[in-house]
Amino acid sequence: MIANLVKKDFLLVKKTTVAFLGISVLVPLLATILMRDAAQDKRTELFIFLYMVILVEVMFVQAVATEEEKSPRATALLCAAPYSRKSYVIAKYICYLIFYGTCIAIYSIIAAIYPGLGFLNITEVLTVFLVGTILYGVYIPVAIKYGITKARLVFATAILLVSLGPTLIAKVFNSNIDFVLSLMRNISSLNIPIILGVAGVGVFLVSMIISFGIFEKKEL
Amino acid sequence: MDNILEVNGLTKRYPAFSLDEVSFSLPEGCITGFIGANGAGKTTTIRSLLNLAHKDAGTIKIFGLDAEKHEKEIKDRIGIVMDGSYFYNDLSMKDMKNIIAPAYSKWSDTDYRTYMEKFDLDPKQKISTFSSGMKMKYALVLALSHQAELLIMDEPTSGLDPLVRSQFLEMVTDYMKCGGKGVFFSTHITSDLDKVADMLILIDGGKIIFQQSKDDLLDKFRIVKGNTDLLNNQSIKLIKSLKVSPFGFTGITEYVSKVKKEMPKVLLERATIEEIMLAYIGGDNIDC
Repeated sequence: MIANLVKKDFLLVKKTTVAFLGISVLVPLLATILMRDAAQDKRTELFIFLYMVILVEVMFVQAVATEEEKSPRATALLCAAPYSRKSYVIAKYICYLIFYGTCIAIYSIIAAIYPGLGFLNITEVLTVFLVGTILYGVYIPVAIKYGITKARLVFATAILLVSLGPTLIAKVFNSNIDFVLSLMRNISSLNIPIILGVAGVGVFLVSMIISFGIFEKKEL
Repeated sequence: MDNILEVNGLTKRYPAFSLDEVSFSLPEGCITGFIGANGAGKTTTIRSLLNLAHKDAGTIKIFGLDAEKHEKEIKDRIGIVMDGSYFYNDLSMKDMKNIIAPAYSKWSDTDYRTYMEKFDLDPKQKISTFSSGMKMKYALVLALSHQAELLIMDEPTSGLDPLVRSQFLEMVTDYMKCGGKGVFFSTHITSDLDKVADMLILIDGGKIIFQQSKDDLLDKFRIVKGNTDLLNNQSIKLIKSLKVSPFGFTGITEYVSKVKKEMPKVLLERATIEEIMLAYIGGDNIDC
C-alpha cells in the first residue's frame, strides 16, 4: 500500500523526471569545474554531492508540492480510501530515501566515467545523508502543519545557501577544513560513519514521528 | 431491519459553525437522502464519518463497527463519491485508478472496465480535461469498482446537467438492485431524491431536524392554498411557510385533517421534498 503512495508522488512529477535526472548529472560535472580552484588538493566530493542532493531534493519536493497544491482535496480522497494517514506520511519519507539512493547511484556512475570526480566514501555519503535529512526532516512536518507556502521558507533558506555557489561554500569550509579533517582523523575511522549514520537515522525517525502526530490531527 | 450506519451525539465545533449532537441511522437496503441548505452541516457530517474531520464527541458505527477502531476495514467496504475536485487533475484516469485501486482488497478491474465503458470514459484522458459531469461519473466508477457495501456521496449531482444527473441516479438505483446495502447521499437538489430516496434526513444549522421515510413525509405534508378570509388565529397556527398576497394565501401543513376541518374550502396539493424542507428551515410566515 505504501508503495502505491510513493508511486503517486513520482506519477505527479513524471513530466519533470528528465529535468531531475539532467540536474543530478549536471551538478557534479559543473561543481567539479567550479570548485577546482577553491579546494585544490582537498576532497571536494562531499560538497559536490551535498550540492547535488539538496538541489534534487528541493526540486523534487517542490514539484510534488506544486502538484498537490493544484488538487488540495486529493489527499482527503486518499485518506477516505483505506490508506492510513500513517502510510501517507511514511510514503513521503520513502520518496526521500529513493531520491537519495538515486543521487548516490548517479554520482557513482559519473565518478566512474568522469576522471575529475572522485568516488564517495562512506563518511561523505552519511554526512550528506545527515544534512539532507535535517533539511527534509524540517520541511515535511512544517509543510503538513502550516501548508506548502510557509514550508517553502525552509527551502528558500536552503536554496539561498546553495545559491552562494560551490566556490563560496568551499571557501567557508576551506579555513576550517584542516581542523575538520584532523578531528575526523582523531576519532576512530569506524566511529565517524557510525555517529553520522545513527544521527541521520535518528533525525529521519524523529521527523517522521512528529509528522505522524501532525498529520493524524490534521483536518482534511 | 439492521442499521448499516449509526451516528449518536456527533459533535464537531469550529469557530463559526458546530455540529450539535447529531444523531441518525441508516437502515440497511435504503437510499438515504441527507438534505439541508448550503452550510447546514452536510459535508462536515460526511467528513466526520470518514474521519477526515475529527469529531469532538459522539460515536459513529458503520456495519456495526466503531468507525475509529476499525477505520481501515470499514473504508475498505465503503464507496466514496466526493465532487470532482478530489482528484489529481494532471493525472490520467488510469494513473488515478492505479493510485486508488490497490488500497481496496476487493478491487475488480473487470468492474472498473465495465463501468468505464458504460459511462463512455477513456482511461487515457487527463482528469483536467473533464467536464464536471465526467469527473462525477469517474468518481462513481471508482466507488463502484470494489464491491462497496455502502456508498457515501457528498453533493454528487451538484453542477451536473439533467441528463448526467439522470444517468447518475440510474447507476445508484442499479447499485442497490445489484446487492448494495445502502446509499447515503447528501444534496441540496431535492428533486433528485424525489426519484430515488427511501429515507430522508434534514439537517439545519448543525442540528438534525428530522429523519423520516420519504413516503411517510410526502403523505404527511400538503400545500395549502386559499382565500385570505379563511385565515384566522386558529388556522394560521396549522400552516408553515405561510405567504399571504392580495390574491390569497399559500403555505404547507402537516395537520391535514385539522386544516380540512378548520378550512373546508382550501385547496390541498401534494408537497415536494423541497417544499417540505423549506417549511422546516425557512418556515417563517410572510405577508406579501
